[in-house]
Amino acid sequence: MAKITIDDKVIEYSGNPNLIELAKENGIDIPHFCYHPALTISGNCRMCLVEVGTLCKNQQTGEYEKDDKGNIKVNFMPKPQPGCYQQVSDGMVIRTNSERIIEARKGVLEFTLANHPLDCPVCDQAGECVLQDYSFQYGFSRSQFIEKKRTYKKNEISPVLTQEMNRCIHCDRCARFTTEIAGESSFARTWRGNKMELSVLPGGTITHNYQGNMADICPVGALTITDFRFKSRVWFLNYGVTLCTSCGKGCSVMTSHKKGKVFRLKPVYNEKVNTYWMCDHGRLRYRFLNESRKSGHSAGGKKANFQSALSLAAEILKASKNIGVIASAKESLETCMVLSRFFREVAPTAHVDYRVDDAQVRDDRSLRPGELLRAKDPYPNSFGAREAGLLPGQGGATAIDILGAPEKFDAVVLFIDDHIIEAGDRLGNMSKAKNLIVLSPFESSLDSTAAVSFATRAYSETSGTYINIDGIRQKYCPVLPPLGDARDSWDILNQLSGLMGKSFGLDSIGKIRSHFKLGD
Amino acid sequence: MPEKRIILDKIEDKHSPNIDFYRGNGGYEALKKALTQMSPSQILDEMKASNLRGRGGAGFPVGVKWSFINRTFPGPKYLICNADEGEPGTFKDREILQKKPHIMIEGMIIGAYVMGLDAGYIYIRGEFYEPIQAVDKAIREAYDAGILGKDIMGSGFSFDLYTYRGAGAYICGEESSLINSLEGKRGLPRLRPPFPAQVGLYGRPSTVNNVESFSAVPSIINNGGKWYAGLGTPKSGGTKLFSISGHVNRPGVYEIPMGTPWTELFNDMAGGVKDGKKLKAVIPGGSSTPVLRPEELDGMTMDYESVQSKGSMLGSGAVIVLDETTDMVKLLYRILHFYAHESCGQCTPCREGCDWYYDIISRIRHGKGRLEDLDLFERLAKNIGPNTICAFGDAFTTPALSFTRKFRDEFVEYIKNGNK
Ligand SMILES: Cc1cc2nc3c(=O)[nH]c(=O)nc-3n(C[C@H](O)[C@H](O)[C@H](O)COP(=O)(O)O)c2cc1C
Ligand code: SF4
Ligand code: FES
Repeated sequence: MAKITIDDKVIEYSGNPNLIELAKENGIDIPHFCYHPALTISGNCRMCLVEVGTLCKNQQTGEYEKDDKGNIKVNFMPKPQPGCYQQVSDGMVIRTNSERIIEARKGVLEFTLANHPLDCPVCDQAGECVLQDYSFQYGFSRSQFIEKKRTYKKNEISPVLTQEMNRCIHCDRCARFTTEIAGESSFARTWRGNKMELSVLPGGTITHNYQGNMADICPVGALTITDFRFKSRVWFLNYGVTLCTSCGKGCSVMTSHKKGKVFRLKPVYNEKVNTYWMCDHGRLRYRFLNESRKSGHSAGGKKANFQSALSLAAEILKASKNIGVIASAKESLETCMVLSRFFREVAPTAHVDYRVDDAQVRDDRSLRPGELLRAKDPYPNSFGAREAGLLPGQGGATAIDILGAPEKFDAVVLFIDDHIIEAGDRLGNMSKAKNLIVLSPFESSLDSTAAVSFATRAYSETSGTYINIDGIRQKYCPVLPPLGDARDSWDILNQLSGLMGKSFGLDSIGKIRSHFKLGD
Repeated sequence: MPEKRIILDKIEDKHSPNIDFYRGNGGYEALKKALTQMSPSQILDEMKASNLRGRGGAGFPVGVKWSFINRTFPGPKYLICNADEGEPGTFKDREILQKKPHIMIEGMIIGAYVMGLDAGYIYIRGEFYEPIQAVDKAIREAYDAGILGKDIMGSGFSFDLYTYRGAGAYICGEESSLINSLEGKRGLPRLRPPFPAQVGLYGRPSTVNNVESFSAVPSIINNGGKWYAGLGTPKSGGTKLFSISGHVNRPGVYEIPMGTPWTELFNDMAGGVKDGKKLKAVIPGGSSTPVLRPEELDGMTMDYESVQSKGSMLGSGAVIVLDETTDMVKLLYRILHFYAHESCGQCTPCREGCDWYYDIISRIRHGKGRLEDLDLFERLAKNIGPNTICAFGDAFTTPALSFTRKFRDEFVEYIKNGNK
C-alpha cells in the first residue's frame, strides 16, 4: 500500500485522495478557505499552504540517501505548496506545522484580514466563521495595516441572500457553486485585482433554488441568509439532525432551535441523498413547525382530555359502516403500517388513501424540472405510505373523492398536514363531513366542526422512517420535545385498537418495527 | 561589437512587412529547408544546440520546451505566440509584429512542424492596433502563397494560424492566463501542474513562446544551432532585442549579440544620457526587475548570466535609463500603481498585497510615510512572492525592495521632510 508522511505520521492510502481530506481522516487539520470537496479546486486563498517533500534517491544506485543519523533525506520544494492541490504520491513527506508553514499561514491570514472589516459584533456569521476561528488559532493579534480599508457599494443580490461584500475574502466558492452545482451562470467574479467583486452578472438574476448553500459554504459573513439575519447569535441555539419533509427527496438537515422554536435549517452531509446541499424551498419551510401548533385535543370544538377524545373516536368508528380515511405521507412508515392494519382489521373500510397531491396520484418520483434535489412530490414518505398499502381497496374512494364529497361517508378520518394546509382550498368541503375525526399537529378551522380532533406530534418531535423517491429508507429522531399532550399518530391508533376490542399491543416504535419487520 | 540585425534585418525598408520583400531576401527558405530536408528531431537538436532562451522574460531554453510536447499524442495540439508585450518598458515585439511579421510566422510554422501541432494563435495586446493589422495581412499573404493552411509548400504538413486580440490586461501576458483569456475566460493564471505542454489551450497539449523567440528560429534553421549559439555567450545564445528607453539620446530597439558590453548598448547605440546629465540608475529588464546603480553596471554585459550576477535580471530586455533628475519615490509610486491596477486578484497575498504596497508608497510620496513602512515592505514581501499562484507577486515586490534598499536615503528624505 502507498504511504505518505504528514507531520511525522505515516499514513497509508489507496487511490488518489485529496491531501486535505486524507489529513483530515487522520486527525490533521490543514486550514483552508477556498477548498470545498464538492467544488473544483481553485487554489486562490493560499491558506492551505504546506511543505511538500520527496525522499532523496541516489540516481545511480536507486537507494535512498541517508543523513548522519540514518534517516532518509527529504528534498523539500523551495516554495510552500497549496495542500488542496497536491497530487498525493507514494513516499511524499508533508509538513503542515513547520516553522515555515506557521509563518506562511500567518502571512496569508494577515493579507486575508487586511481589508476585512472585523465587524464580528454585528455579523451573523460570528461563531461559525472560519476566518474568525483561524484568526484566533493562527493569526497575529494586531494588524500593521493602517491604510483605509476597502469598501464596496452595497448590492441586493437576491431575496434569499444578503451580501456584505466588505467581508468577502474572494474565495470564489459561491461562484463555483453557482456554475458547477446550481448550473447557472448568474453569479461570478467581476472587476479585477483588489477591486474584485463577487456579483450578479450584468443583466442576470440568481434564480436557482439552491442559494442558501452559497451562504452555507461562504467561510465568512459575506453571504448570509436574509431570513436568519439578526434573529439569534448562533451560540445561543441548540442543534439537532433530522430530515427535511418538504418533498420526496428527504434531505438530511440540521435544525437550529431555541425555546421550542426552529430558527433555521441547514443541510447535513448525506452521501446517498443530498450530499452537502438542500434547496431553498425546504430550507425556508421550517416556519410551519413554529406556527399554529396544536398542543391539546378537542371534541365538538371544545377542549377534551385524551382519554375522552379517544373513547369518542372509538364509538364513532364502531358505529360507522362507511368510513373515509385521508392519510398523510408526512407520517412515518411506522404510523402508515399501523394505520393500514387498523382500517383492515379494526374498522375495515376500502376508502383509504394517502394521495392528496397530483404527483402522488401519478406515483411520480422524478425531480421538478431543472432541480438538483427537489422532487415533484411534496411529501417525504409517499413511497412508505404506498408500501404500507394506504390505497383504496375494491370499489374504494380515493382521497380526492373523499375531499370532494365527504358528506357521503358516515365518518371521515382526516390527517391534516402542513402541505394540505398550504395547498389552500383542498379542505374546503370538509366542514360538511359527518363525524369528522382529525389528526394533526396544526390548528385549523376544522377543529370547531370536527367530532374529535387529536393533537399529533410533528415529525421534528418524534422518530420514524421515511422512504424517499429513490426508495432510500431513512430514520429520523426527535430534535424537539413534543408540545403539551400531543401524541404520536401510531400511539392513538394503537390505543383505539384496544378500545375497540382488537388490541394491537404495539405501544412503542420498537415493537412496531419488529412486528412489521421494518428492521431495527 | 556593433548592432547585429538578424531578426530586424532590413526593417528600415518600408516593404519589410510584405511577403514578396521577405521572400526576396531569403524569407521562408528556412521553412522550406525544415519541411523538405530535416526531420523534426533534427530540428529539435539544432534548437537545443542554439542555446536560444525564451525572450518573454523567463529565459527558458526554447529547444527544451519544444521537446516537452509529445508529437504522437492523439488529437489537436496548439501553438501560441505570446504577443501581449505588457511589461512596462518593453516594446521590441511590436517592432517585429509591425515590420517583420513573416519572420515570426515562419518561426511558428517551423515550431508547429517540429512539435506536430495543428493550429496556432497569436495573442496580441489589444492596444497594438497597427501591429495587428500588419500580422493579419501577413497571415493572409502566407495563406495565399501556400505557406499556411493545407499541405504547406507541398510538404504534406498543414497548419492554420489566427490572431486574437487581448483586452488590455497585463496579466494576460502570463502564459496560463493568456490561455484562459484565449478560451474566453477571465484572464486568471492557472494552477500548475499540469503545464501547457500537457494541458494547455482547450485542455490540449500546447506550447507558448514569445514573438521574438519564434522570430529567432529561421536563422537557426538556415545557419545551424552552433552558429547561433556562437553569436552569444556560453549560456545565452544568439542575438537579443533590447528596447531602451528613458533618459537616453537615442531610445529604441537594438538587436545585439548576447554578451555585448552594456557600455556599447548604452553609449554607442543609445547615445548615453540625454542632455549631458548624470546617470542615476538602470532598470535592465522591464519594470519588475531589480534596479541597478551606476557602479553595479561596471563590467556588465547584456546576457542572462552577467545581468544576473549583478543582482538583476535580463527579463524581456526592456532597459529603462534614469538620469540624476529622477525622483525614485515618484517612480516607484508609478510602478506600484501599475501593478496594483494589474493584479488579477485571485490569490490573497497578491490581491491584498499589491494595493497595500501602493497605499504605503502613496503615503510616502505624499509626505505621510513612516520609517517602519520600509521595514513593512521587507516583511510583507516574504509572504507574497513565495505564496502566490504566479510570478506577479514577485513582479511588484522586487522593484519595491530594490528601490527602497538602493535609494533608501531618498525615501527617508520623503518620510522625514515630506514631498517638496
Ligand atoms: C505577470 C507576467 C506577465 C508576463 N507577460 C508576458 C508578456 O507580455 N509577453 C511574453 O512574451 N511573456 C510574458 N510573460 C512570460 C510568459 O508567462 C511565458 O513565460 C512566455 O510567454 C514564454 O515564452 P518564451 O519561453 O518564449 O519566453 C509574463 C509572465 C508573467 C508572470
Ligand atoms: S499572484 Fe497576483 S496575478 Fe498571479 S494569480 Fe495571484 S492574484 Fe493573480
Ligand atoms: S484551500 Fe488551498 S488555496 Fe484555498
